[in-house]
Amino acid sequence: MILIVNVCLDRLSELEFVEPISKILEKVNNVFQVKHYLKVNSNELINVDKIIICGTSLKDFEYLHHIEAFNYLNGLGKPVLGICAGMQIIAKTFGGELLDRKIIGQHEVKVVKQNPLSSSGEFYSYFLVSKIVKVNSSFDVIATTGCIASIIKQKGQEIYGCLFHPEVLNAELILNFCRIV
Amino acid sequence: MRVGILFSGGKDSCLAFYKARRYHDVVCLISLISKNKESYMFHVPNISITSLQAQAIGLPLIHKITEGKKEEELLDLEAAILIAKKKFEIEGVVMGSIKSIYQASRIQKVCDKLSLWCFNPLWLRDQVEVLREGLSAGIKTIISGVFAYPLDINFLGKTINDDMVAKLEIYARKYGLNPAGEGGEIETTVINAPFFKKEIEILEHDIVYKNYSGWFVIKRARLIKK
Repeated sequence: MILIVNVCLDRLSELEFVEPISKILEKVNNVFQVKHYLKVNSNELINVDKIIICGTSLKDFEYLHHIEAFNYLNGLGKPVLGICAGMQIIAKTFGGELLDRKIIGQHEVKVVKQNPLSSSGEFYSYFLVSKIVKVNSSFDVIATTGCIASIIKQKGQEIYGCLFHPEVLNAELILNFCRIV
Repeated sequence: MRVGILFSGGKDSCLAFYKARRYHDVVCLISLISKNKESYMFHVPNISITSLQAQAIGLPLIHKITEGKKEEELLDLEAAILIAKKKFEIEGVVMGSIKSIYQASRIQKVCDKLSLWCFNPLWLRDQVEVLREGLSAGIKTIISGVFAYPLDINFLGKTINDDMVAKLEIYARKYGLNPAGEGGEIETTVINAPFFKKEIEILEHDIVYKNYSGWFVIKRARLIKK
C-alpha cells in the first residue's frame, strides 16, 4: 500500500496537489491511502510499502513549522518520494537547508546520475516552487535544472526529492517510483 | 478566505466557482474581455455575457478590456486582480484551468506578484470527468464556440447534456480533441448553476460560422426566475 501524504493547509489546494497524484495511482490500480501529514501515525506505517509526500500552494509554508511530524522518515527503510514541498521536507528532515528561489513554469531537467525514476538525458517539467534545497552530504544529486538540484536521493536509502511536479508532465516518474522494490 | 474567481462565464470557471465556495467566501468575479478573438489566455465568445451572469449570481464583477496581445494581456489581468484585491480585499484567486501550463503558470506568477493565494481546483482533471461533474453539479452550459473539425454549425447553441458529453468523448478519441475544449476547440457559456439566483434566458442570437469555426453570439438575454 502506498501512503500519499497531503501537506496542504487549505482544502481547496488538495484538489490541485493531492488529487492528481491519486488519479495517477488509480489508473494503474495501485492500492493507496491519502492522509494529512498531521494525522500520520508512525505506528501505522508498518502496512505501508511506500510514501509519496505531495506539494502544496506557493503561499503555503505551514508544513515547515511541523517538520517534526515527519520524524518517521528517519530509519523508515521504505521508499519515499517527496514532491516539491515534499522534497523540502525530506531535505529538512535530513539536515539540509532551504534557500528562497522562485521557479514557476516549464523548465528543462537534466539527469546527471542513473536512477530508477527517470531515464537519462533531458526532459521538460513543470515547476511551482519558491524554496530550493541546498544539498548537503546526505544527498546525491540525480538531476539538475540549471545549477539547481531538481531531483535528489538520500544516500543509502530509496528516499527521493523532486523539486518539480512530475504529475503534470512526467507521470512516468511517479509510476517508476511505484515500481521500486 | 475571501477569494475572487477568474470568470470567463464558461463551464470551467463555473465549476471552479462551485468547488471554491465549499471552502471559501467567493466575493467577486474577475473577467478579462479580450479584443483579440484568438486570445492566448482568455475565453472570448460571449464574454460580455459575464455581466448578466454576475447579476444572476449576485456578485460584483470586475471586468477589464484587454487588447489580447500575448504578454500584455497579463498586465491587464494583473491590474484587474489588483482592483479585486484593493476593492474586495481578496486573499486568493481561483482559476479553472485544466491542463494549460501556459495559462496556469502565468496566473500563478501574477498571484505571486500580488501576494495572493492561487487555487486551481480542476488542475489535471480528466476532461470528460470535468464535463460530467459540471452536469451532475447542475451547471447548465451551452456551446458558444466551435473551432475544430469535426465540430460544425450543429453544435453551436446546443446544451451540454449526457448525449453531448458522449459525442465529445467519441470525437476526443477519434480526432484527438480535448473533450472539455481546453485546447480552444470549444467555448462554452453557462446559463444556470446552483449558485445562480436567476437563470439566463437567451432571447436573440446570431450564428457566425465557416469551415468548422464559428460562434453562437448572444445578442439579447435576460434573467428569469429559476
